[in-house]
Amino acid sequence: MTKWLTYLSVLLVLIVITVISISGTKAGFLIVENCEYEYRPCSIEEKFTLLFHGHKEPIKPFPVTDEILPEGLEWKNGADQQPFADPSAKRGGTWNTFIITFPQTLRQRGMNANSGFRLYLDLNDQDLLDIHPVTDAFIPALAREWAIGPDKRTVYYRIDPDAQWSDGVPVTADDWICMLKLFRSPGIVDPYTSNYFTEYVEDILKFDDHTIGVRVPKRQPNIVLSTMMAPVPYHFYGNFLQKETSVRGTTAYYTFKNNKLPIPEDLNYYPIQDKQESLEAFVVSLASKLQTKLPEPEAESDGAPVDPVALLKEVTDTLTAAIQLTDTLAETDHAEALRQLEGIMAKFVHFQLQLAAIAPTPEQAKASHTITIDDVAPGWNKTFNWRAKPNTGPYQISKFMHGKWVLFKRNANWWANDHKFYKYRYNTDYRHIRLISKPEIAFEYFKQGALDSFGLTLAEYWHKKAADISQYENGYVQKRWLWSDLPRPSWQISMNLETEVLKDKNVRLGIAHALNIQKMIDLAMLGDARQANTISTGYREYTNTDLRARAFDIEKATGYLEKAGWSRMGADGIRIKDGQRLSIKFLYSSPEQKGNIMILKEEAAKAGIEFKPETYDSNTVFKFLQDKKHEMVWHGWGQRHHLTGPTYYGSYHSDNAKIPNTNNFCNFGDDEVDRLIETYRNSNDVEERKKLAKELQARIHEACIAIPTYYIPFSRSIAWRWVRIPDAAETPSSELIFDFSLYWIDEEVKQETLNAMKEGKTFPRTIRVYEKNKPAE
Amino acid sequence: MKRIKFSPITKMRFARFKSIKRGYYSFWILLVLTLLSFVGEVFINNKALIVKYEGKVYFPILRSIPGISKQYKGKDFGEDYTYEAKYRELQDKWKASDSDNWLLMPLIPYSAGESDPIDMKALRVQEAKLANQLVQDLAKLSRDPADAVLLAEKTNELQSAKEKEVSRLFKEAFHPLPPNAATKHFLGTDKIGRDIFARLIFGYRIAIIFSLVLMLFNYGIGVTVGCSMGYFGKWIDLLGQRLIEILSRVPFIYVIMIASTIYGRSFGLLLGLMVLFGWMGSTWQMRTATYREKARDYIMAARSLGASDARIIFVHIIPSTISLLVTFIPFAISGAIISLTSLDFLGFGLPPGIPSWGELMKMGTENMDSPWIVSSVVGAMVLILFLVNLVGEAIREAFDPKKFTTFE
Repeated sequence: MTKWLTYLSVLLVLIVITVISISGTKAGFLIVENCEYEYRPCSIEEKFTLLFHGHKEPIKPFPVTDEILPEGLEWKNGADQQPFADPSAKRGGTWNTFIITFPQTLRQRGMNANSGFRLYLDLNDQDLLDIHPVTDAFIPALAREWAIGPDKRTVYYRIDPDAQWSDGVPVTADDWICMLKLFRSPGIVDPYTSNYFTEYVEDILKFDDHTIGVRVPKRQPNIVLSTMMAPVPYHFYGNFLQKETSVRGTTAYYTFKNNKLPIPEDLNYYPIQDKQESLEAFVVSLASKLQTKLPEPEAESDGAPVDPVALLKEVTDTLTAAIQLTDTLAETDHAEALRQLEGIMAKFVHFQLQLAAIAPTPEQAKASHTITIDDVAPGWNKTFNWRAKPNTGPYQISKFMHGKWVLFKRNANWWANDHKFYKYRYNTDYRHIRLISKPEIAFEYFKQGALDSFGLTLAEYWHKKAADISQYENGYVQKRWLWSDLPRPSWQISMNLETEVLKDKNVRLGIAHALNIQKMIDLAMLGDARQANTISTGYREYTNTDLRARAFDIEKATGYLEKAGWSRMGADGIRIKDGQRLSIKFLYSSPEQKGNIMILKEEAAKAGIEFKPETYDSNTVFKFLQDKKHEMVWHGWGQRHHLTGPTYYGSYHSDNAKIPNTNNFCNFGDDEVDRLIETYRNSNDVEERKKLAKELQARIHEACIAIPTYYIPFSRSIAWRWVRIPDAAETPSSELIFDFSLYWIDEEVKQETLNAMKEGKTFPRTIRVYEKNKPAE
Repeated sequence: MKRIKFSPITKMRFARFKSIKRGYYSFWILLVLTLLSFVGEVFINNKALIVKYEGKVYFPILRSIPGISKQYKGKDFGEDYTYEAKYRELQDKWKASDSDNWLLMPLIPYSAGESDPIDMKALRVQEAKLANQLVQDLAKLSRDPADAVLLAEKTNELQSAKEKEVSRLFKEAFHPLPPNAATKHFLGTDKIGRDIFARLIFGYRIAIIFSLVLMLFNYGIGVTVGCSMGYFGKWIDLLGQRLIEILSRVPFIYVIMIASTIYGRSFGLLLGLMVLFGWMGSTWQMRTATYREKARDYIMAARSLGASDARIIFVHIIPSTISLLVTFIPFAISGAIISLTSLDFLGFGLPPGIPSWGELMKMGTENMDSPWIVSSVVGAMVLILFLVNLVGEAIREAFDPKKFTTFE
């Protein structure tokens, strides 16, 4: 009897523990936040007296700029463009999809904001303009009209007076100024964003509530593309933007490369410093262009106190003068240009002296200065972690459960509901995004109908796992294969020229001929990918189509290696020179590349080259690359928009070689290539840029420092029958068939399909291949 | 050379072990398997065992032993390439041409790291053939506008039939491929076309070497430290105990994860870390046993006869306590195999490229539609662990002090 009682009590205790632990986890998960805003349209005057999140202070509108809107601007409005959506689209239904990691925050900028989920939020932030997916022309979005200013550095926009935030507040010029101030703030702890908006945007001018000008530091082609940025809601963040921040030892930010002044620990990043450095670099490059030398600073400074802010303004003015000078260099005569430049350089030397003079004494460094910098209130990141901002797009987060799912709801009062280019798009009422951490499991969800579509671009899914699933054979789900001619990320093998072995071009050529990329594609990628011939694939006219990848050829590889002196073979079939084996460390980070690397290793051994695969997590690999400690690395560069063309400065200019924390992973520097890159960077002529890009690709191919590997010019997906995709979805700009949100969910077809599945009725097997934009091999 | 003399009690234990048939046979099976895996290159290799080419006999297999001499190149056998001869192709060629040259391949003519290539060209030809067929079939259809609906249906039907044929073709050509005796992939291939049987055998070899070395180190340290703690006691014991307590509180798996992200994955690092956190178990056992033995009368007698500490430890204590540890050896080995496999599964184990069971298991669980991957590795693991445990059980029974003991 006692025995049974003991068992019973043990059992009871176990049950209690289980219940507690289960309810505990439940309690941990069941934080359902409701982010829906009450929709109430309000006037602009009302906007500035909005009380938000308990902050009582009304926010003040930003002052209007002193500048006058230039006369005679040529305003464009994209009226000649045709809508591209299919008018037969039906509204309603829920789009079910998945993410593999739950976001750490709902902010789109700031600490930890970069995640796969951010895309869903970014797509719901409208820009000033959009690009027409068929004609590549600009079409109005938040702006109704736009015009490029006479200085070719400013684009003026007239904001659509109908444009509203999802909470009903009108979109005004202040929202862009707020964006710039917010993104430049050091307090958001997002160096990439702060750097970008400091370096690539000079200013945003407010002419009135609905007219702004966005100015970039220098003339550039496709200036509209780089100025059509999205705003952030000023009425939402306004109370968290501080006008003045007290910074310890402000002067410490004015540094020179070789004359480092102490930088406070809490803020080792600051925009002014970058601006100063970029100015310095600019003037130096200007001098080298005109083949003159910068005068050495000689005079002692008189020690008079210098106002850093005034100094910065002067520096900026000089920069502007210098830019104008380059702009007119071609037209004015050389001697005149030289004379002007001398003046600027003399001024510059003067700055150097003045800046050196304000190097702080230890007491000064400790003392507090207050200068006017815009920064966010302390704790901004934390405050907005789980508070979604209002947006201008169709969907808003309506509910989410931590670590489980996020539900987006379509805004019934979306301002662009009847907009020419937004009608019949964004058709589903809800977007339900659940966390499924593994694609294999997500595929099972899809087969059960819990997800509406699943990407099949990976060859192993298309050719193996999803090749003949019963749902497809019975016609309940449909396959689509979309070819597209768009810029591709460049997966390339970069060789570090600082490595003793790889310094020799013949060795590099030998390696290039010993990489059996075709076999790798055939075996590990099931023959699906294409071998890339250049590091800039898919940029249409920017891509040099004459280049051909070096073919796998052991004889050629042997020839080059023997030329380099690696002619003796060791017992294990690996070449030896002066007692050193031809063994190269091959760094990679993404586990998906493992199979690829194993095949390359196996094949390269035939030529007597040993690859030693090394792998770490992506952060460590990036650190290695930044420190230039690698020998050979397989990595990918993200693609840019096909209108802007590829970029080469960061990765191949000698400015970025041989110094840490830069992206020239090859440590490559060549005067001629440098010159080409500089011309390419500073050119405003699209045709010239196209020619230069091709030339640069050829040079890099010639130097054999970065070997392009493969690219995938298509995307494939499988979707349930009820996901209706119009033919219009195959635009030249569609990377995925679901891009531009032209699809819709047909509830009737859904019901029909579900009934058919119950009754065992089948439909014809359907596969659609969209080949209109298939790029030539 | 002095012959090792076993005490009568040890002999009795051996006899007892022999009499437990399942343990005894498992031991032999394991031993044979291990020895076979050590010479695995003879059975599993892409180099031929013997080549007879133009009257001369070559033994390429010997060239797979590192340091012997250089490989035979394609040129050596009349081919026009200068890298290592492709023996499988040579064999097919010579067989087809009915020449006097011949060669003998090992049982499984693939090496563990080698990907079995796919004839992509033939595939593309077949695909193009089907595409041509489709074009012809479509051209035959009626173009009558009245039958537009029918035409669309028919077109879709034909296209879908062609696509089905192509997808079948591709699915059957691409790795992973199921077991096939004709291609000599007896357990199929993995995702990039490597032979699973070869990877299993060489993976086993790595695992067993790893666990034996690990056990040796663990027991070496365990016996030394445990014995000193138990025999000398006092501050040595106190210090040792505290050290063990501290070390056993360190989350071992995190240390491995962190170390492998910082220093990369290597055999030595993994072994070092596993030794660092693995010696405590045997130390505790040894310490207790030494304490117990130390207090016995015969030790006292030896001491009073003037025996030194070293003599007492090595001649009296270790021989009488070691039997305790012997019973744990098989379980230590199975434990090491499991840890190595699970670390590899998580991606923190051996460096990439080395055949390993954990890697295979990961690939298998990610590709459940290719069940031969996961079933081979799970089967092999179950078999080995089962055998090891049978041996362990038999040893435990044979060394059971309740069965044969000199003490009452």
